Amino acid sequence: MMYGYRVLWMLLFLGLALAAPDFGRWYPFVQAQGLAQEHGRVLMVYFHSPHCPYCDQMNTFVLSDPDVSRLLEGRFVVASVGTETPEGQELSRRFRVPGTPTFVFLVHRKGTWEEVGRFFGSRPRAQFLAELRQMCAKGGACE
Amino acid sequence: MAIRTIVRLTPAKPKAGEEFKLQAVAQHPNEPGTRRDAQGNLIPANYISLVEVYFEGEKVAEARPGPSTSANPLYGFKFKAEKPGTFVVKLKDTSGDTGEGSVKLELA
Amino acid sequence: MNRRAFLKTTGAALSAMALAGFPVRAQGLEGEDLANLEKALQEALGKGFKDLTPSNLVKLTMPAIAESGANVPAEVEVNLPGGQVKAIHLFADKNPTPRLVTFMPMKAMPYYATRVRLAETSAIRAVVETADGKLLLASASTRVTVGGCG
Repeated sequence: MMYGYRVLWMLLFLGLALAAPDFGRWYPFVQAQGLAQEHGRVLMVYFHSPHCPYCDQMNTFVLSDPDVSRLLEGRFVVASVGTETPEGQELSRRFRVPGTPTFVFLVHRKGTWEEVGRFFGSRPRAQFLAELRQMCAKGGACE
Repeated sequence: MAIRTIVRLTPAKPKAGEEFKLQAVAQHPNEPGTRRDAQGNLIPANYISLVEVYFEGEKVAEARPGPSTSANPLYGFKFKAEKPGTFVVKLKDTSGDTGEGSVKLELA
Repeated sequence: MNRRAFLKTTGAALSAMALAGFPVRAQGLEGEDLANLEKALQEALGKGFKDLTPSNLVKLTMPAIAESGANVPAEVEVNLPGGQVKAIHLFADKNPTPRLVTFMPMKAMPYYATRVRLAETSAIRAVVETADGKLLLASASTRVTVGGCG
């Protein structure tokens, strides 16, 4: 009897785990947009290029910082856009991206995508975390 | 796969009693374990954690680097030239891969 | 930040430091993070910051400014006979893992050079374990530039 319940609980947890998307990772733009809209999260579009040392610094120390990771996973969907790809070039033009790294924050409101803020350039962890909190509040995902 | 390792001396031919530098350069990404790839996944840590210097078969120096060494790292040591012989630098990373490079010390 | 807010936060930080038991040996270095450093010191040496003695026998050379944190040259040299130096440790206060390297000179001279990754602007420490059990300290600071690629 006890065993039966345990199996039931495990199946339930497994089902939940499979249903919830993994917000700890990054997605291609269109997929990320869909997830952000569906789950009422702020979309952070991260424009990066492989040979920019400032992007590498963000990837190695800032975007993996435990506090930053927790906030991104909890409230955001990250779209990863490599500006060296044809799709990345098109998106860079569309969003008038000045260079890399650039972070553009979008929310879906009243049937349209609204930009709530953006920043260009690498930054230390504490600053990035504070800015993320601002974007989250502005986007209505951190009340 | 063996870690490509190059060792050189400066000056190349020191005089007896003179100080010289031994520099080893390795081809290795030295992944610190905190770096995210383009999909946002963490790249697992894999870095050189042991550097041993041998002279004529005897261990003469050892370094234990942590996860924050640069990619394609450099390790520099200083010795006093006493007698000619061969230096061997042995490297080992956290995945168990090893590398080895050597250089001959000749006195001017 | 207005003056009162500044005084309030500094006051809070100072009393937090006093509570944590750090010596008032404020070195005023940019990128100091004694709490993060302390954990690494305890792990590597079983000793804390208060057990270290600043010494000008230890020469730590770091660039004042690094264009990128990915590849920062670090060099340390101890002005003691080789046999008197048991180990040289390097730490970066702000790194998630502050210990950069431990070097045992054995028959080499007490000198070590390498290139390291820095998470951000940070104080760097060279801690020298002498054969007679002393822990000597030299500190430096490297500012890691923030910026972007156009």
